[in-house]
Amino acid sequence: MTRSFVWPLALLLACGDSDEFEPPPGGSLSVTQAGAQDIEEFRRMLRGGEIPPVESFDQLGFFAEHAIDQPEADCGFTVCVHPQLAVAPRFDDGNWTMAFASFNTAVTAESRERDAVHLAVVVDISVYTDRVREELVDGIEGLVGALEPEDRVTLIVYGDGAEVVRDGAAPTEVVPGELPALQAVEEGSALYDGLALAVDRLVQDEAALAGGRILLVGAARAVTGITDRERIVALGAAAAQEGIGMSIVGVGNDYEPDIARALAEQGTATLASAHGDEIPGVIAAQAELSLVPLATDMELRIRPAPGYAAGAVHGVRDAAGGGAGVVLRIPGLFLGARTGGDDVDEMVGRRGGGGGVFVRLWPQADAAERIGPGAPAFTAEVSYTDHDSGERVEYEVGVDNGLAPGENPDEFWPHFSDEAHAKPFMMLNMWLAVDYALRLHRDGHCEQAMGVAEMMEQSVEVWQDAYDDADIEADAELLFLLRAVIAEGCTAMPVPPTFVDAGCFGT
Amino acid sequence: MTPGLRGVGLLSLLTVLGCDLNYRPAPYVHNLTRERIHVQVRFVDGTPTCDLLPQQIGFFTEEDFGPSVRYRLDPGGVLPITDPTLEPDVPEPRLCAAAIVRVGETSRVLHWDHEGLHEIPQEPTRNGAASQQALQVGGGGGRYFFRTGFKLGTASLRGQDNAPPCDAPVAAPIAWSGLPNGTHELAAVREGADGCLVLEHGSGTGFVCVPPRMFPFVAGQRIEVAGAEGFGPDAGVDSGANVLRIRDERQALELRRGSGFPAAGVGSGEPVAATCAPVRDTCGSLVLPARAPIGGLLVEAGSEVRAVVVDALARVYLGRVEQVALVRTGCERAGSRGFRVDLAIVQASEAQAAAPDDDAGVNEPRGHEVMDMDDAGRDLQDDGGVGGTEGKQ
Repeated sequence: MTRSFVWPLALLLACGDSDEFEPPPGGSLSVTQAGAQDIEEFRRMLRGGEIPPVESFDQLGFFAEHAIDQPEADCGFTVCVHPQLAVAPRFDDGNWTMAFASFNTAVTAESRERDAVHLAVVVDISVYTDRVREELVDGIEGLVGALEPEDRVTLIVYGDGAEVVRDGAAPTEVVPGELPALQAVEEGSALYDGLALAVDRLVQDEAALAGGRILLVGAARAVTGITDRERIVALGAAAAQEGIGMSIVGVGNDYEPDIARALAEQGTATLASAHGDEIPGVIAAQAELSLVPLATDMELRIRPAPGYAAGAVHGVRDAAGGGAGVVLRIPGLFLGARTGGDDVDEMVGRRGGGGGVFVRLWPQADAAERIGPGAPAFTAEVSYTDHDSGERVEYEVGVDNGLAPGENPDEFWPHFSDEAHAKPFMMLNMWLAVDYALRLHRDGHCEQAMGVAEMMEQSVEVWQDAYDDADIEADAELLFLLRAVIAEGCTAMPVPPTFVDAGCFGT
Repeated sequence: MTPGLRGVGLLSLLTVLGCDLNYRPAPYVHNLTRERIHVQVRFVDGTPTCDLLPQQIGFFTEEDFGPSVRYRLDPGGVLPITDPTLEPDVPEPRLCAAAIVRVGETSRVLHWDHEGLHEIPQEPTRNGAASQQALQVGGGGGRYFFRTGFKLGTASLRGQDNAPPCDAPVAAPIAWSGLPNGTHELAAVREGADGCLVLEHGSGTGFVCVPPRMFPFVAGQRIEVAGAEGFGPDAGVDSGANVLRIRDERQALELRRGSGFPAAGVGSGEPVAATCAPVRDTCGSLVLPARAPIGGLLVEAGSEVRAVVVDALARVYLGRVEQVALVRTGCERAGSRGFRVDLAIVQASEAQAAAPDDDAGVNEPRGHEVMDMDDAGRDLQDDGGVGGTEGKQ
């Protein structure tokens, strides 16, 4: 089974001259969505022996920690889409047909020519960041050092109130280690004031609106001044409306992810969290990764071929549609940090992997006889605005199913349309396993929650024997850590769960 | 009531041991089978408004309940479903509670009022007041049935998906920050991207989230800021997290948020909540839009009325007017009976009121009157308190 057809539908010129648009050469660097970039906070809670709430297991963050080995990004556009298909028996019987699409780019931070950015850095100087202040200041130092000379920096601190420390300064004029304001420790945490000052400064600087972005660094707690989550999230939404992007790096043991997560759901915001020694690297990396999106206003339409209907969607926060097709809206795509599964940076870890989006396909009842094997399964239609050229890009790629709709493979091993790049389906299975385990535990079925991990153990073993992937290894560690924490409060023996809608990989 | 089993709710696994003490008021599971059973309890993750709990619990979802705590219960045993907020170190115990109780594969969503419950004996009989709060477990063969006493309400969680939507208006909270008590000169007043006002003053930058037309001060003016204590020589500390007063020599603005209505001389009774399904606010709490009685009218959130407030005509804007069915843990608490009402009141300042011939910026009394609004809640007859700005509240 291979991709069946690939063609650009159209290249719509929203602005600029088409002659100036030079498609990037081949290569493959991951591309990440706006939203959470990791699940570090979830992992930290588990390591502390605490079972995190189900809703804190962020799908976007989990997928973003996975680098997908993808074909070369030689589609001729800044962002290339790579759709795939997997068909497997379900763990609890039945058929599991899953469409997937990932993105990559041939553009690198070094090769990219971007417009100047006015970056408003909003720094938490409350007691909640006292213990990580040194790392935090180092991170800002690294961030400012990685900016271009033509960029501008506004530095704002918030604690009992908020204050502008540097206003529209050149990067070289900002030396964080020498600023007394960054050494202060205040009892309060006026998050709204800090963000509102940043938004106000960027809106007032009309020249910056084309490239205005806020970087919020801190524990993201709102305990002073305007603390209504509604007001803070509305401020984030208003900033997005004004074209101001936001990057959030939650730091320290007192980091409170709830508001940060809600802010990260606005526009092209991104969210990462960091602890201890990794803080400077994660903050500094934002200069290359999250400052300017590669693409905005992306729409990915997964259109099922005859014989299939679209079902559940995973990996994207805004999806609409029904059986005839699903439209996934992605407000911003950013340059990722990884070239593949083995590329794990010492400073930023597994963040910036890229992940992707999944749509469950439901074969229709009589489709197997009517359609047979080797027919199209779905089409991925992409449209987005190339941020650097301003052009609207549209194209589509289709994928065939080598099996008849609803037909299971002969063996307990999935049927992939592109087996060399099939890791995302295992990634989805790992996410489903952790999510099921959390839900079963929450609902009082600790024995079944542990049973999910038991069930996945052999599957992971078979997969790792074949691929030995660092990300799947980390997922397995997470799942088995969850099992261990659940086991501490559960005397029952693990039993298989009664319902798991996941594909059966090698068991 | 006895403290004998306090802390029971915090244990993840517990065999209820015999002792001579009765249990404090709680519903309980009574194992009438001949088998040891496992009972799982998930208490609601937040504070429900007790008056509303029986009607609103159906709108709760699985996510509104906390993690499951599992107990082992021997044949004939009794397990009190102890509300964690009755623990001795919890300052404000709830008057009512709700939980999902599961035995085997069968579960019930229960709610109860602590006031209506009696102490239960360690070995309850099947008769008497205590049986009214019993969740008796019978049957076997791998499946159990529950029989619920009439002091315990039962419900099913259906969420909001199948309920008629609430079309009553919901307004954002009135809020402020960065305005210390004292006298300030306003260097700039402008509307921020989110519709809140950005005030540059001598001490820094302040923010006031009200419709611009309700902020009667402009750049260049000197204003006096105070909290709940009011103006005067002792008003040096801003203790008024829920009250802010700003005035110049002509006009006064009073902002109030949260619990307490009628308040500041505004209102003539308790707000009236809508009868639709509750909506979820950004903090995850469930709220019902409400209307506040002012001058014989029921006024909705986002509306502005003219009313006599403490003997003087005022423009009164209502921000949030809502009844909270469930305050999720970590969200702002609601007031008594779950009402949250935010008010912005503009009047002539006291000095100006003493000089009736001068134009105080508030039109002549017309009784209580709801002003004309457009779809966004803006006043069609008012050109805005800040020149040329449009409300985004």
